[in-house]
Amino acid sequence: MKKTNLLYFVLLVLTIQSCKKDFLDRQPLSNLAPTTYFTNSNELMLYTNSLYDAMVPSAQSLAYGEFDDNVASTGTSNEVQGNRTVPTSGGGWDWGTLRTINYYLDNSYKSEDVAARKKYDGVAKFFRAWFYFSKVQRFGDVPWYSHVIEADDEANLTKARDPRVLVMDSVLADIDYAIANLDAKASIDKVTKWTALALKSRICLFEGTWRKYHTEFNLPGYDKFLTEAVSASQLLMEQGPYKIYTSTPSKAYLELFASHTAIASEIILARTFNTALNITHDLNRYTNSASFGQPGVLKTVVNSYLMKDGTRFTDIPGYDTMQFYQETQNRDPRLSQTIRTPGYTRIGDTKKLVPDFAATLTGYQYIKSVSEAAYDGIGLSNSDLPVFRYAEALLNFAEAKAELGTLTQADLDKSIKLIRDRVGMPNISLATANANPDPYLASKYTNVSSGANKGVILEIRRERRIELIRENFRYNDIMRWKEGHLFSLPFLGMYFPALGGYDLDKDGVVDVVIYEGTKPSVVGPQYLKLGTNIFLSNGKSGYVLTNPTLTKKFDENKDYLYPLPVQQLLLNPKLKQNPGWQ
Amino acid sequence: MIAAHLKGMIIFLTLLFCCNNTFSQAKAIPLRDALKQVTKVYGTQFVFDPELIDGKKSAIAVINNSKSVEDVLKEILYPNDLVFLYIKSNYYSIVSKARMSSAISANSPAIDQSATTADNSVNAATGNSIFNKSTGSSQAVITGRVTDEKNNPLSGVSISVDGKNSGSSTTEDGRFSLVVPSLKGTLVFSYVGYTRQDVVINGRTSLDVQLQPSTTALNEVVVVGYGTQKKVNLTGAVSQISGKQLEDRPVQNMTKALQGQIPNVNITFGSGKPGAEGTINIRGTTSINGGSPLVLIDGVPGNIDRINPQDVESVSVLKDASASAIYGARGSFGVVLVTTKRARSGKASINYSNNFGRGTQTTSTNFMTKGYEIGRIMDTADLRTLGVNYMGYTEQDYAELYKRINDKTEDPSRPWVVTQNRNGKDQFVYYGNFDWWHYLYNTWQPNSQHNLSVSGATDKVSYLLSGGYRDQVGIWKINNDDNKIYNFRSKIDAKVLPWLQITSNTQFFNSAYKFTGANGFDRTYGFEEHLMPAYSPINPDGTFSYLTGLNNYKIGSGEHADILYGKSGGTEKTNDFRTTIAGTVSLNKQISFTGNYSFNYVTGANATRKVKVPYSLYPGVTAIIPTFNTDQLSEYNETTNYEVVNVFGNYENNFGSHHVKFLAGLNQEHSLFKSVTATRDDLLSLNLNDLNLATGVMNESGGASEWALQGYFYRLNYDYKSKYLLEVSGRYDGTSRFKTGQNFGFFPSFSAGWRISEEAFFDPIKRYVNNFKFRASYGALGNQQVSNYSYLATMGTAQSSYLTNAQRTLYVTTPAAISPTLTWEKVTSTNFGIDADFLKSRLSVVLDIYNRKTTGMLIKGRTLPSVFGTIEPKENAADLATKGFELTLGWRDNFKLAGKAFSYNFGVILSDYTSVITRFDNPNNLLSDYYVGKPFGVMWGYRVGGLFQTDEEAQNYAKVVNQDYVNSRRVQSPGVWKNLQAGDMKFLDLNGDGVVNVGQNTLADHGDLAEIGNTTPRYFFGINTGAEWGGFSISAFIQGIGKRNWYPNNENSTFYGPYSRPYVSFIPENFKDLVWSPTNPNGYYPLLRAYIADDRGQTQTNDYFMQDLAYIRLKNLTIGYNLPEKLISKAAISRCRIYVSGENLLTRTKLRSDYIDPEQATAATNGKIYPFSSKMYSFGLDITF
Repeated sequence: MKKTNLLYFVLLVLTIQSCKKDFLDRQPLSNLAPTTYFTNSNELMLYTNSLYDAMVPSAQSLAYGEFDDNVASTGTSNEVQGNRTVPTSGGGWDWGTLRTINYYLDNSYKSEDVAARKKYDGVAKFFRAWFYFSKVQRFGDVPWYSHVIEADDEANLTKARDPRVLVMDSVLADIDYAIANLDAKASIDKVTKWTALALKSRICLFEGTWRKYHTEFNLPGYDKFLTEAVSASQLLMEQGPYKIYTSTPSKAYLELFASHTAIASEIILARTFNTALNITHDLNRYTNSASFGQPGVLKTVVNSYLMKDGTRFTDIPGYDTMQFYQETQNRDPRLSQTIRTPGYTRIGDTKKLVPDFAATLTGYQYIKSVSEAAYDGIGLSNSDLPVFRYAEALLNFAEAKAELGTLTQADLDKSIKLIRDRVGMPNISLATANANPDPYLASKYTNVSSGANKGVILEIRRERRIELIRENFRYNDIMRWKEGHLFSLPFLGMYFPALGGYDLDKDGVVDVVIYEGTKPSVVGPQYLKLGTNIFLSNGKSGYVLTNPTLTKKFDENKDYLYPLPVQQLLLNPKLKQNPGWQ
Repeated sequence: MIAAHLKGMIIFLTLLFCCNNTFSQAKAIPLRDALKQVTKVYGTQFVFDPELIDGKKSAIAVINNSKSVEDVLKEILYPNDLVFLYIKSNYYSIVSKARMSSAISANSPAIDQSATTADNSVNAATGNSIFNKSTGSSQAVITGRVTDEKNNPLSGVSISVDGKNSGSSTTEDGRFSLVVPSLKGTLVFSYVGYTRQDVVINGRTSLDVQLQPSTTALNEVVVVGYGTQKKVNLTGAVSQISGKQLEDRPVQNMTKALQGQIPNVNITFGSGKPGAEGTINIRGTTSINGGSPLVLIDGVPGNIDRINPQDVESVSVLKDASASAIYGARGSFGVVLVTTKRARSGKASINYSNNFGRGTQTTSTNFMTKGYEIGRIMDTADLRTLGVNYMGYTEQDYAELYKRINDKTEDPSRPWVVTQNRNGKDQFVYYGNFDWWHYLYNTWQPNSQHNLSVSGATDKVSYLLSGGYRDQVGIWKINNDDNKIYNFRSKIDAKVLPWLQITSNTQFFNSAYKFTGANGFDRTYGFEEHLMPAYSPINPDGTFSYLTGLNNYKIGSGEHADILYGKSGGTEKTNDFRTTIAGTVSLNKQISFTGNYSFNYVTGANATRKVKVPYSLYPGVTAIIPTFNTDQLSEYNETTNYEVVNVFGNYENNFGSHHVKFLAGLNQEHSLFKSVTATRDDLLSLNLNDLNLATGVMNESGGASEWALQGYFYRLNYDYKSKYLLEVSGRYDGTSRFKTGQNFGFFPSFSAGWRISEEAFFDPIKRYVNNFKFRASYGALGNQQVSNYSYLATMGTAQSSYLTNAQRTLYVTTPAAISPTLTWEKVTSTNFGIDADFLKSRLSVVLDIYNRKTTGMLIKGRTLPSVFGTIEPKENAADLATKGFELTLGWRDNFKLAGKAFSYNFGVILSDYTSVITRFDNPNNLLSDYYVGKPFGVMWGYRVGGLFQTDEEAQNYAKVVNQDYVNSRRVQSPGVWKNLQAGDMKFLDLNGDGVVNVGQNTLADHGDLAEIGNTTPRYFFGINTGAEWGGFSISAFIQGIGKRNWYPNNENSTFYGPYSRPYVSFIPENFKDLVWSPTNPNGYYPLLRAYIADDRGQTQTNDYFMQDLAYIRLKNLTIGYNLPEKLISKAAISRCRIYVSGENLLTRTKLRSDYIDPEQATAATNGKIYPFSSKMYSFGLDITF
């Protein structure tokens, strides 16, 4: 071959090669293009699947909290210290999940499977309702967006907050769509019609009571939301597949939360865990070790439990200086299924245990949601945690009716009674409750108007606090009831009349020794040095005083809502700060 | 230009006056003296046989420059029957008239092709030769012609006899004539840029010689994009160093060897892990998105650290736009061209070299090891901050520890671990003084390398085969980690037809790093905390420690137990195979075409095994450490297929004094990446690691992506007499990384040079300034260093920790927001440079000043309100300007010392740059983001006015200034410790508002923040020096930077000790002397409190803890010796060199810690990184057969 021929040949081959028109057109090989997605049921499902992890609360949010009014801990929330500051950025003003939802809703029309589209639109709208509900709870008015915002959409990016009334009506529309279109087949880890009803019941009770009690915001239509709360709960009660889990009264309540697998007869939606997949939580360890803030249930909570016969503990003279053994006798059986009381044994063990002061600041140590000792290590707990359960809907039903003034004994019989039956407690009697409102509760819930239903409203609040403790309801309940002043009370624990040794469970062995100066020779496993390991409210006697140096404050004029981050106000001048936070 | 010209003229005229001699006429003087004067006045050099002029006279006594040099020569030589031959500018040979005319015409004599080694620096054209006496008796004349490899005549080739100084050189048509003592012996032909040739005369009087270009003549020819260029003709900013400068250092890879060698080629290292690669930056801040130089190995993109340093012939760095424009969209931040060696000589030669070294840490490793002292420090810090006692020891426990305070090793009567009944149970209690650092880590780590190469050439084929092995052991003492690298290269050139040359170039790289422990070293937070000297790694019964039972912390997070157990660990393996085939067709002398195709196959394979690790707190009871409770094998494999095609043509011709070179071609590349990960739990064996043995939960994932490039490039060079130089080049480049229609860009560049030293008016000072060139260039380039599909909205898949049906929930991700107009970042750069050589090239100076503008940087656009719901789409929305300079000074000389040649060199490089943001969408000028006018690297922080010396002083200050905002941890402290008191830091209220805070954290309202420093490294310098004499050589290399601020991250326990967390593992030995106390009022560290460094995180940055990383370091010192030829020739060895070498022997730094390497500080501001073990001593051997 001649050299020029060879050269021409090589050049020709290369030219053909390089002129391949699409040589530079390289589409992704391991990702999908949105233009061709959203066409079938499976694709819609896979997209909306991302919303579960984003929206369903984590184990921490579900069960570690309530530092505001149920639990004392070494680290206390800024909310009760009144030292929340206006953040520069962040601060809960995050909107990523909404974009994910709206992106779906802007694209799902591409699906030819109309039934699937309606179902997954229902999922998306369920989560949008939930998303906006959370935002409204935190900030009050927020801007409503039903579509993805483009980067150049100035009007939407810099619009002012929409009125709460408008936003909540949109939330109601979304959740109603979800109820109408979601599957009616129960599922423990997917949202269904029943989950939507449970959410609606929660949202509407919150909004109704908020509007009723927060008159400073002049919000209309509280009764509309309470009525919606009643109807949603009622639908769930009448048509739903759920019932209150029962076994024996002394165990059923504990079993419901200590069960490794969520009990699906009562629990509507749970966050589930799996040791093999290494998706676990730390609840046992958090409760039983000294490392995580030593959570302790407050004395006020213990006071709230009724006597086993339905009478009020706080009516007993000297109830407030009663010692641990005495105060835990003959109480609502849920007390000894919520905290360690005399005779307590770990599940699967027979050794009797008293409260461990190294793990609980107040002396009232949680046992609710605590499983066998084998799960005490870091990341070993795997019990599923309830997100929505039937008992809440029953409580919502009763409370909404009570606040509306339409509550009857028959209503109580089909709601509260079921909850109390589980633990063998007598039901609330509407007449008795209203005839003699509990002065103890009335002194706490000062905003309940002295109408005909005051007594039963207080009793329902008692029931709610006891039944739903450790399920992260307390903060929002206090917010909607406008009882923020409760946050400024000191965190108190168990009562000790003097220094010295105490046999907490009356088994003849001293369990805890409180001393001053040098360690006494009294034998006992737990030594608490006054001023170092323990503080008492009257100095050398009184209630266990946690966080003695902590000041607690609540500002009625601003603390019901959170501040917006400064940077957002700068970026959007139409956005105004919440009252009191300027 | 005109101004510069005039200025130049004035300088030269001044010099000219200085050299002028007074004119006078006198009687005849010896011809020898006359020639001396000619040399002095005109700078002219002569070559001749000294006997020719002996006893001859010159008619002119005083020579001055009133006449041309040739007129003067005619006057003094012709009367003596001598003639002169013009060889080149200022270079003449003198011969007798008679012999000139009787020269015999050329036959075609045989030539001895045996070339010598690379010593091509012989230059017979030295003025000294004139005074040497010839010792020969009988004489003869040899004539001939010298040509280059293309049979073009070579002028100025120096010819000497047997290496003696008498000699001649060729004329413009390549002819020479030489008087020799006899027709025996050898003629040595040497010419810069060509391989020296020794020709045995063997009675011949006529010789024709063809010289071959020398690839080692780096001072003259520089590798540029798709070709080479004579250095004198360069117009762009190009630096080149030869492989010789990198030899004899015990470095593990190329980046280590290159560091500090080339100005503004800034090489940094992060991890000190064996096999870790360096990062190359050219000329400073590139783009806020980063951007690295394009590295080509023999013309094909590749990883510089995957070639054997021993295989490198030269490294050329193209710094400005004009030099790199031919690489278009990838050359925007400079180009590094690595050329590997090819066979040098005809004779086959075998080279073997090795190196054995031992490395140690560059930082101090002496930490406190007294359990008692550390326990007290930790407790104090913790009590003051959290009100709790860290160790959980009672006073009785401390009394036990105190008994052992001086026990360096365990005293049997006072064991370090005892069994005691606590809380009703027997448990281990720890009372030791354990030196954890030296238990876990080696002080010295060995490394070695071996290299073997075989090369040779015939007139048609040349070949080079080389192989290398490098082994470096890591820092782990228990179950060593180590890295092994194998290199292989084969390079074959064949001239298969007179017009066709083909080349095959293949390289293979294999690296394997092996380590013990589930987490490797790079993530050893575990070791950084809770390794108290009081604790012991192993209990008396042989079990591993983990819990103390006295507090809630875990000893070393159990990592030591995992390492000691030795069952977990992993490997990281890389294979890089690359082959290039190329052909060059020469149509005629002017035109040639080259085509090449490269295929590169890279695989990466990582495997990690985790096992369940037992520990014991209670004697006889073992449990599994919760953080090491998984038995799992994870394997990751990736492959990259990469193809490159280049086709280009060259045209080169002379039109009189006009020289033209033109190059044009196309380049096309495609890369395809694929990965697979598989993980499975519960293996049936503790020692075997294969997925087939796993029985538990499995997890797999994949990944794939590709990119392609297509570019058309050209370059036109023009010069007139090598005096006026012009270069125009550019590229039309397309990429798959942008949307069709926005993915092609045209990137042109221009540059020009003026070699003022070639101008006639420069002649008078040419002997002082033998080369002087001005250069200027301007060019525009693109930056396509963005991810493969950033212009597309895509949806991936992922698994969430939300479980559905007891499985992780699979979901499809939401697409990111994409700007529709995304396109190239553009980089324009302007460069001015000077190349100058003084005093017969002994002193050389290269100076470059540049200005680089990076425009349209891809950033998230304007900060949008959070309701947007995702990261702002990237837009071409920011600009950056970088200015800098680089300077190279070199001195090189040689002379005779005690009868042997002594040569020495000294070089300095210096460079600097600064950058500023010139466009950025941040209307409120938030300090948390870039803003217009922000100097790159600027550090905003508080000013601290020292430490309070008394409580009163502190309390009085607190009444006026509230600094609680920056003392968030102090404010939460228990009891009196929440008060501001003696020993605390005094934060200054710069704006006088009574509160120390950030204001709105904007440029307009920055509260008490001030610009306290800058993290940009400044004034990079390097100093190279060396000398050779009689087989001995010594060289030293010093490197450093002049200034750089650094703020240690709040987690940097090495810097802060317990001020970061109250339970850090390693506290400097002299810690107690550094802490403020009433009795130590000058202590550097404030009142002992934990979490001080953590107060308000980053915004607490202050000038008290801010550091200066300026350093100067003796990077290398090598002493070598070449064994005498007499000794080794008997063993058929042609060269044998032995040497000892030290790396990083001395360091001086402004950094206030002996425990942090100034070069590594910024790689991990939290200090948690594999430390450098680069202080190294080694020795080696280099033999050529």
